[in-house]
Amino acid sequence: MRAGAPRRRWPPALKAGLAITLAWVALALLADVIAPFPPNDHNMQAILHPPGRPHWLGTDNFGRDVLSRILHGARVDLLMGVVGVLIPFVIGVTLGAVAGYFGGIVDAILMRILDVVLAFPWLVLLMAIIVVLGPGLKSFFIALALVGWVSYARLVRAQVLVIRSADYVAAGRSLGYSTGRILWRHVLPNAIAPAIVFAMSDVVLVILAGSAISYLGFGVQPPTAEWGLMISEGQSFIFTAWWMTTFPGIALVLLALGFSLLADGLAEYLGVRE
Amino acid sequence: MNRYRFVLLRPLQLVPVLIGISLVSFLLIHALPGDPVRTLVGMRAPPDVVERIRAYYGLDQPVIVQYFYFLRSLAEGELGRSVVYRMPVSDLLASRAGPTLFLLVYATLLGIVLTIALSVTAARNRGRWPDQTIRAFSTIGLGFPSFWIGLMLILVFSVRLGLFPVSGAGQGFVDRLHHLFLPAFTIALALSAVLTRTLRASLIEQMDADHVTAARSRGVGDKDVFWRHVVPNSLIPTINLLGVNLGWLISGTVVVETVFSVPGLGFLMTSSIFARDYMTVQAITLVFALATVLITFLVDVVTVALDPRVRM
Repeated sequence: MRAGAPRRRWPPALKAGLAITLAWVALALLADVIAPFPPNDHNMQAILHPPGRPHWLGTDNFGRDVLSRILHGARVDLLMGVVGVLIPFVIGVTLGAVAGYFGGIVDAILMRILDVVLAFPWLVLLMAIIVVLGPGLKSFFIALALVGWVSYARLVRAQVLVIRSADYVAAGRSLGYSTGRILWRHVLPNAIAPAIVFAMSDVVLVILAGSAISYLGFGVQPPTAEWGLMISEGQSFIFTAWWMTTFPGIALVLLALGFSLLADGLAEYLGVRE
Repeated sequence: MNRYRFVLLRPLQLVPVLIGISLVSFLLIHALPGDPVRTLVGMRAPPDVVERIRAYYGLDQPVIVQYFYFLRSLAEGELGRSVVYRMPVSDLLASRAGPTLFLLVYATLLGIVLTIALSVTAARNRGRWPDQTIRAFSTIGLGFPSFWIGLMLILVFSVRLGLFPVSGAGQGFVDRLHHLFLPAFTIALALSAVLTRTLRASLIEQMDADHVTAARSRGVGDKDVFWRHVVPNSLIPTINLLGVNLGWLISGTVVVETVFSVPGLGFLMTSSIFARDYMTVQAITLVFALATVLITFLVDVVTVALDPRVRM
């Protein structure tokens, strides 16, 4: 990674990513208003109704409206992505900055822990922790807090190692600034760009992991509308009701695309090379 | 550092990682809900029997002593018993490793073929529509949920066209290739989305490199320049990325095996979670971590052996 001078103009990928992401946020916030039906209302008159009027994306085996469930599901999947990245981001950036700046024994221990966590296949370790904690969204977040911080710690540490010997840090020291002030106000702001870019692509990974874990049955529990769970509920009806699995998946791909573009655009804008 | 010393020193660096993995696995088992002795003998067993069993398994010892018991049984290849299959977990895992290994190799090979085809097409049509399409694929492909892609492939190729079976692993080599095509293709699609970005970029970089211009000026044909000079030199970063993504590949296998009911370790893991067969779950976690570390180590050694410039 190399940090260069930021460019002024917004790259097209950044604009497109921001547009898609904000559109999803708006849909999620307005779900109560724009969803044509309540997400959990059973309708025995319209079971497995194919896409068409008045159920534009069809209904499921309980007669629940797929479009309405996708809109409400956007809340859960966005929440998974944002909270699931924010907690590891804060922990990882803090630990990485401290380890990189002070070095020594703290740094050595942190790097060994990092090696161990990275040795486990990510999703497998998440699942193994969720087994201990029991299924549910809360367990998913705790598992992510335990596992997800390592990437941020590594990125920030690598930057801090370079920056701590910069002239402006030496200048700060000679002016008698406290270590805390140098670290948080001078070193960290210059070290955080790669971590922010990674956070955007990490949202994609976390949403995919969260929906996969819900699909497998260990994450969000029924009857909550969540895209991975909807896909798993539709799997039994794949021969008769293709819309139950197809549309929630398209929603997932579109949300992920928004954050992937955001990551690409931000990398270009901030001059971060992976 | 010379490379023979590297080959000798690198295994030493593995030691703390291996200790860490065993510690994490031990803690995962130790933190499991419920009393393992009660699980074994039931709630109505008399207290003195419970105490005897507790002492027999060393569960009355301090945690640190229990960890050393755990290490000793690991060294003996003892991973506990599966409460569901009523057999040693090690035997159970051995019987399920075949389909997983087959799927991993199959998916990786398909993924490499797909990556090379896509990257070469993109790099040779730089800036034109095939390149734009392939770049769009590699951006969208990063967000493909593998479980959904698998179901979509089932919908098209199994339900509509009837070309491939919906589940199982098949008997014999050819049948297995046929049964596992859709699962392998699901993983390969996601893998190629990741790798195509890197390979396309390094192909383009190599096409403008001095040694390629030199080859051209010596009158080497376009085709030879591309396949004998550009492609081989572009592959190293891609192969490294493939090594880095091994853990991700294994994670994908767990999900995809479950979608297609492939009787491998991944499907065993998810079904064991449902069956509360905790020993099996934690043993699979351990085996996957060990496999990841060892294969990454081998990739490192092979890279150093192949490329004398890499001296770490």
